[in-house]
Amino acid sequence: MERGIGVRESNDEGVAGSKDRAVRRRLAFVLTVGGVVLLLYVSGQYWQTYAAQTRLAQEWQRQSARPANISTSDNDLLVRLTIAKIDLDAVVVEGTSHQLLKLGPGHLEGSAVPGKSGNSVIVAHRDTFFRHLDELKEGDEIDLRRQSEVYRFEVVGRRIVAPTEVSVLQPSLSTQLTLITCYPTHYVGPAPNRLVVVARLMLPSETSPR
Amino acid sequence: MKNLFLPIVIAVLLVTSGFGQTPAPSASADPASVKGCLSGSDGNYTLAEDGTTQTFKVASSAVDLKPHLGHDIAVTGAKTMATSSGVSDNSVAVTAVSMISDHCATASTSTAAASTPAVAETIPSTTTSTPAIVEPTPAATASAPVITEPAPVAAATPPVVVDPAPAAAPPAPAASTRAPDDAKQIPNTATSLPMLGLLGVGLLGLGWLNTRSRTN
Repeated sequence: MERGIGVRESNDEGVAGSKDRAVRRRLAFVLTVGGVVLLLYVSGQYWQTYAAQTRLAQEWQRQSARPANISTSDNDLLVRLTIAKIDLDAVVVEGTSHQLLKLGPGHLEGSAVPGKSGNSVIVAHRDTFFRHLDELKEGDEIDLRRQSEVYRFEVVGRRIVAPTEVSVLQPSLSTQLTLITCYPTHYVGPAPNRLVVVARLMLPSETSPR
Repeated sequence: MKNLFLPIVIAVLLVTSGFGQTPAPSASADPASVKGCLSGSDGNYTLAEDGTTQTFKVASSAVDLKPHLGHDIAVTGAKTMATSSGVSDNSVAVTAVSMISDHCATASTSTAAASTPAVAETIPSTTTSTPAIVEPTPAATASAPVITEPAPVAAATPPVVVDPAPAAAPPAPAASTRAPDDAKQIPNTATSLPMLGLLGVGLLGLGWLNTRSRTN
């Protein structure tokens, strides 16, 4: 009799164990699939950025090869932003919407044309193009290239400001470049502040050949 | 049945020839700028032109118009004056937009523009020690030299056309005197991608751990 009860108990345990295993198997499957989907999505987004930059770089090269005497509006010409110090080389897109910033650093609409007189504001994501923006120090050089023109800027300062501190976007009389990204730069999570790097256009006599 | 065939063919021919004679919508596209008040909803915007009774359908894939709803703006792009079946259908394919005012008080545009304070430029102090990141304080901002520039010229002129066509864009310095379009806040540059990536790795890890504990 006791033997019969023991057999039934072991059968119950066996049933419970197989149920538990089935649940765990399903859970493992769901977790793995979820992880793979998320990683694929993230990879896809970064791939989109890479593909867009490749396309823009080709277009920029085509524009650079074009004779300068062909009159084209500055607004139609692509600008290439190069910062040797942080290994950044990207083509700037026009606009700073969420979609556009996926493709590259965005030129704030309404701010001065990059390289021309006034305050030109360029914004980019902290997890891609401007990831190392905080490494820039006073005196570091920034190049903006449009068609055959090269504008060399020198970092003159940087600040951390609240998102509402829009004075950094205001026009300037001198030729100024303002680079902005979210701060803290090396952080996964909300970005309560903005890192602002300000550079001024160097005179031809100040620029060193590169 | 055969009796019906001929009338049907004739009717079809008449209908198709009728369609063929329907005048195609006449459209003329020319690059221009329009200044006015933006209204509507997502993807379906209209611009009531200042100083006239004309309204334009506004569409753009290049710029985001949503933040300018209820604003007095100047849009640049291809203006299409179309007439379809006697109904005018004007639209603008916008390539650039600039905000003139954050409200649509058309009657007081000139006075509002006149009372707009001059744009102040704050030049960052170059004497601050940059290696250490310094949180800006209002006092520090105020102590920086302030140079005032005249208010944007475009805002003070009530006429319709503000910016010329892109082909005849003004020299760049003119652009530098305009305030940025969305000057309420610095654009957000943080994405959720790193967080999602970490989450994906975490889920994969948990799934792997779960599989391992099952096999042990």
